[in-house]
Amino acid sequence: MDPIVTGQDAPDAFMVRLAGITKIFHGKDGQTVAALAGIDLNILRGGITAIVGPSGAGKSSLLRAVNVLERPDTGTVNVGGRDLTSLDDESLRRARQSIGMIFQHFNLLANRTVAGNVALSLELAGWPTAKIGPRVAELLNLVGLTDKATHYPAALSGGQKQRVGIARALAPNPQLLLCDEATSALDPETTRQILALIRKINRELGLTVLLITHEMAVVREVADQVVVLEAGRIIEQGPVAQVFAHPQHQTTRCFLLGETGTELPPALAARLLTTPIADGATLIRLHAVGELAASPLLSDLGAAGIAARLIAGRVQPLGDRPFAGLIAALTGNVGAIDNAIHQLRARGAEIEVLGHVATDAVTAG
Amino acid sequence: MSPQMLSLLADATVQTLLMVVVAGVLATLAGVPLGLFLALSGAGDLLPRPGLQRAIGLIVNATRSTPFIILVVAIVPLTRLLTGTSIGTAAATVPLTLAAIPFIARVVESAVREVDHGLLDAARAMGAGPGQIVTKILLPEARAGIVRGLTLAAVNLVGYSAMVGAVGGGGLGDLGIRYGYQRFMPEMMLAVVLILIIVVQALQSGGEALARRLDKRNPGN
Ligand SMILES: Nc1ncnc2c1ncn2[C@@H]1O[C@H](COP(=O)(O)OP(=O)(O)OP(=O)(O)O)[C@@H](O)[C@H]1O
Ligand SMILES: [Mg+2]
Repeated sequence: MDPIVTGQDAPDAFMVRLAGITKIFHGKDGQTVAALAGIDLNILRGGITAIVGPSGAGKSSLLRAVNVLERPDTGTVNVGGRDLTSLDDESLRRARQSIGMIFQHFNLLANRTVAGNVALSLELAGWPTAKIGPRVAELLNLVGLTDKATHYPAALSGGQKQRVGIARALAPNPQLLLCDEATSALDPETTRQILALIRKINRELGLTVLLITHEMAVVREVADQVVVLEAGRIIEQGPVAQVFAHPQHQTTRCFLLGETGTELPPALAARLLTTPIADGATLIRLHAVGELAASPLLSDLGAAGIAARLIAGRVQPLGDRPFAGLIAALTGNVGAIDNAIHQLRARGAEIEVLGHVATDAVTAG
Repeated sequence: MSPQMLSLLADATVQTLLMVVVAGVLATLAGVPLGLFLALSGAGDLLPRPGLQRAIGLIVNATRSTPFIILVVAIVPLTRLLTGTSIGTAAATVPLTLAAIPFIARVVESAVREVDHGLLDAARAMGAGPGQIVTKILLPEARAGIVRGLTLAAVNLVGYSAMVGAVGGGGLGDLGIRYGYQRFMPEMMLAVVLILIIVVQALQSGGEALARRLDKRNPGN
């Protein structure tokens, strides 16, 4: 089953349904920006969906449309079966209490303690005072900050601040958690811990998570589904493994290169030729997921009489499967190389022939 | 210094403090809501009323740019209406209050505008309404800045209260002019100036200490 379906079937399966969303911003100097240029997107209940895209693609605008922090110009926003765009202010405020949100810069109140910050979302939701204390304690325990309850945010690390943000967002029992670059201000290790916490929440509480990131590493670590946005439009979407292994769009491919460690070294890029040369090497970029990534690819090539030199690459976990990305220089019989590429593609590998270089370019140094 | 003069000094000090406190409290009651309105009602703000905001902004600026001594004279009819007289401590409180309101409104406005915009996003995302945003987010987060602004206003009021003394307002300024200057008693003048310095110092350090205690933005507070 394809968990992101852009149709009207089985509406109950979706936590969020966006249809025909557009948003135009009017700049001061009279120019306009179409931040969202017609978005149709359904988000399945209980999953973690990542929205990626270059800066200015409209990611934040899209996320802020989901809880109508930014009202779309056209289109409908349906969350948990309710059309938020048609609600009056009061009902919208109440609907937002079942949608948690966390931010890149945490947005904590400096003049409230950790416990006070978590209590804020409950106070705003009108919880009786007697119930707030125990609930705050429960949440601080969940995010591992019980011992910091009486500290002020200024005394916390970035990771701890984001944990407070998460506790605050989760306190009123939301069905959906929106994360706008929630780990972009954190170092890699802290990022990993926060992502692990988000995944734990998703699994244990069954919370649907919609997160924005510009880092493919975040997508790989935590998301089930990925949506690629460019210039206000969705250019690609699907399960993470599928999009990583077989990116359809050039922008997606570019995004993945840094993450998979398959950027061509500049020295080689400068010597790249488009046509084969005698005694030259063929440079290929290969991506493979799962069984194929774990199979002895290089010796398979060797068995076919092809010498494969590794130029760059990385194997890393994608969910619970290995994901391999590499650039190799193949030397040997031109027909045999063509044949091998053909066979690897048939086995499911994503292969891009980058070009050709003189053999000394890959053997020197 | 004779006991008689000491008692004059004590009375004048009480009058000055009374003027500052009464005018300060009244001006705070009017200035804080006015400042909040100015901060929240611009185009694109939480409760946009740009036309009214501009009009009130103009009045605030006009009042602030009128020299205080002219304001005192200009509003004599209003002062008479409110207090039945145009001289004395009670009468002096009227122009003092009127001068402090726009000042307090502006310092409150700037303190509220300094609250991180991200907090408003967070509050709205949590379902906060405008009233809750003001009481649970803006005022608590701006409180240190507001206290600093009010301190500044109180210090200004001490200076202005000495000025109304010159036009029959009573208090330390009055004493300094009548005895220190007109009857040429330098020791009286010196005593008046010393007391004013002490009052201003006390207000300033008290206000700053309170603001610091309220400000949790830096670790260690
Ligand atoms: N309030 C606003 N007023 C005017 N233009 C805006 C506003 N918010 C966003 N935009 C514009 O809309 C476009 C999309 O912005 P958005 O913040 O959604 O992008 P993004 O994908 O989140 O980018 P980033 O990765 O830099 O955060 C950008 O061109 C931006 O300049
Ligand atoms: Mg953004």
